[in-house]
Amino acid sequence: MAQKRFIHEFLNELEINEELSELFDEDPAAAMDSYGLDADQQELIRNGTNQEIRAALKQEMKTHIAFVIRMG
Amino acid sequence: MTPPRAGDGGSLVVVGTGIRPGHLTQETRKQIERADEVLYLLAELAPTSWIHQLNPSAESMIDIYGPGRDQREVYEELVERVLGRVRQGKNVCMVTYGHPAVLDDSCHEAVRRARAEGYSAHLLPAVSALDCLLADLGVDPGRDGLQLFEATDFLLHRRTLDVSVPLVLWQISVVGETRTTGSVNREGLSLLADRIEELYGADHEVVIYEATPFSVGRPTIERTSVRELASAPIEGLSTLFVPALSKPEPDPAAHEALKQIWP
Repeated sequence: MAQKRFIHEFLNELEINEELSELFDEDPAAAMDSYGLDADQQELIRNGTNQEIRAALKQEMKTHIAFVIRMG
Repeated sequence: MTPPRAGDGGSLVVVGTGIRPGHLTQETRKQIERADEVLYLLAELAPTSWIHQLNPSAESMIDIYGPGRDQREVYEELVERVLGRVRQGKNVCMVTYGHPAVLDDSCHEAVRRARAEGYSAHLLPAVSALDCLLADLGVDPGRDGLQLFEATDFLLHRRTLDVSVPLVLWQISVVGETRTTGSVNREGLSLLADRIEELYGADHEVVIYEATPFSVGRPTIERTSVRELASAPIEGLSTLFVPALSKPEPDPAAHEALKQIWP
């Protein structure tokens, strides 16, 4: 069984992997497929608000850190 | 700027990443790459691997931001951790979220203290949440003007407003908070909503806005009335945009005076 892939890892990979980032810009579904994200994860990335994405990341990372109190 | 202390070495540059990684400017990227040490504090869950790729020395300071801590203690600890490395003779890059000069006492204080101790220190501009708000909401501050206040400051000083000018209130989730927190202060938000209602009326539409910190997804743009604001879905990083209530009054005397100098 394939290892579960996480959205937070995908977002990190997008920032450091130019090839994946370019593929994502051209064909998001192909990029997410190649990384191994499931259908629910892909839907969230495609259409989620930042609040929904944040909620998913919190669940993945099991974290409840304090806000960094500034919005600058 | 105070010149570096002869023989001691050590310098500080404070930079901002913008709201999401794609906002990084070229000069900021260079500073991160060239620094002896990189100390960063980014908002919550945004990706950070890219900072470590730019400079393997990168070190998060999120451990300082434990929940329930006095904010002044947190800022002091951030400043001292950064200054400690500068005093060791390192060329330090302090990296923060958004624009480092906007709503960040620790960035300003780190620069001020480093200069006072004789080190070279400066702060670079970056993309702020306000820049994202202007783009996402289609607001042009050059057309109608813009008023900006930190929400607690707005209440505490009963700031005078011109309701014909759009208003931005920062940090509406933590009105009255003096400690780090992971939840919205609804009581503070309610006080803020009462004050806005006095000025604009209960039916006036406001926008709860949050730029997306991720390279995917959409910004949050929730329209609601002032009446509903206190119970509206607010997140930790929400900013409030209050559109103008009325048109500005023209000044006929100024109009006449300007006509005299127009060709």
